[in-house]
Amino acid sequence: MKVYTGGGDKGKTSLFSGERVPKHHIRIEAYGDLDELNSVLGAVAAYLPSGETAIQDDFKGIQSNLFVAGAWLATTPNSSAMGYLTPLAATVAKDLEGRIDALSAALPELKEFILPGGQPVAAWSHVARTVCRRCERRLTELIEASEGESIELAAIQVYLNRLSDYLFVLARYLNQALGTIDQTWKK
Amino acid sequence: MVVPTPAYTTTVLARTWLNGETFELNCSRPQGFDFVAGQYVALVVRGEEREYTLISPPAGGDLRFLIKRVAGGQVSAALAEIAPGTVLAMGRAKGYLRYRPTDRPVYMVATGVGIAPFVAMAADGVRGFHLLHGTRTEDGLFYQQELRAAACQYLPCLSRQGTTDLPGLYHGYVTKYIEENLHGGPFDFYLCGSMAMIRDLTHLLDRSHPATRIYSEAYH
Repeated sequence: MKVYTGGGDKGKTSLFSGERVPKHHIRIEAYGDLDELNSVLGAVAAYLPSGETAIQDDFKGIQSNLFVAGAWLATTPNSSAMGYLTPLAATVAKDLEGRIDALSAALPELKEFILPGGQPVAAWSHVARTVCRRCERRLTELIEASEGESIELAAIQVYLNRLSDYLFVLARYLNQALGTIDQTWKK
Repeated sequence: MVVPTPAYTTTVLARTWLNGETFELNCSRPQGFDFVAGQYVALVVRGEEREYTLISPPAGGDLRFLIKRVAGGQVSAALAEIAPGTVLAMGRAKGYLRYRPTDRPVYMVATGVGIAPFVAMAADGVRGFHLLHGTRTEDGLFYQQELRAAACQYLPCLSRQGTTDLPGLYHGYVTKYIEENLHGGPFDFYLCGSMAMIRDLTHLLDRSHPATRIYSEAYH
């Protein structure tokens, strides 16, 4: 049985490519935020209405994709460990666009800012969206800081951008589906 | 424990005792089963599952496991007595303790049956690594011949006194050997075995050779 080792008890951890780095290393920050996003998505999924099977399926796919993305973020570019990584499927961003369009079709046009909130599941979706935006910021920071970053990180960047949009639309969709009107921002 | 749906079934073919508490279990290779040297699978016995590292090469042939009978362990005790011909459920290969080609000097460090992934890597053609195997006594130095042939340096590290004529013998823990003898670098280290060894060696390398890449897997 494989268990914890305590190798990280003094503030360092191993990247997937083996390098020992401090736990505040930019790569650890980046995939740590991705881990946080995945956990928040788990909270959203736990609140999803039981009839929303298409959205439940979306979440299974998204949470799996974030694991794939996390492995790339945890690996130094051009290391031999990259040979063990699975690429994100080429269609993941397009698939999300299709789902955004499908959910948006039932929603009124948005003409004002809305306050994040409403039903608990929608509120959690907004939280997930903001964590997703932070993941994007971390990722751009990582890409800027690293020479020779992979094409894969660029694909993850696109995916996270699309995922943020999906989560925003999802929050609106869920509030509407559950009979709650989004509150608009009053100046 | 929730036992996941097993991916394969395998038939126990033979068991060979290597010392009083450790044996090699040979099992049939299920059709379509694939793995990378260093990976492990879950074997399911009487509704309980445990993970065991394959010591056979991925290229073909029966599947072989190195198993220590754990005091009070349900699965290892059952496997220690299981009859040839018994069919077991088996999971897919998992794990990331795999050899990554490098131009750095490679050190593989094991305690006890933690030698298993390195046996598989040697059988798979990995060569030229330094290998430290820590055990209490000489009868725990499994697969010496194969490992000596594959390694550029094979260092048996025995924590109990007694044997004197073993080539390369070091009396003491693997961690102590590294602390006293590792110079230069940077290195790639592969660690497998006890949690204490992995924790102590990781912290030591963090201090003494911070550019070291470390890949590890702990056995309970």
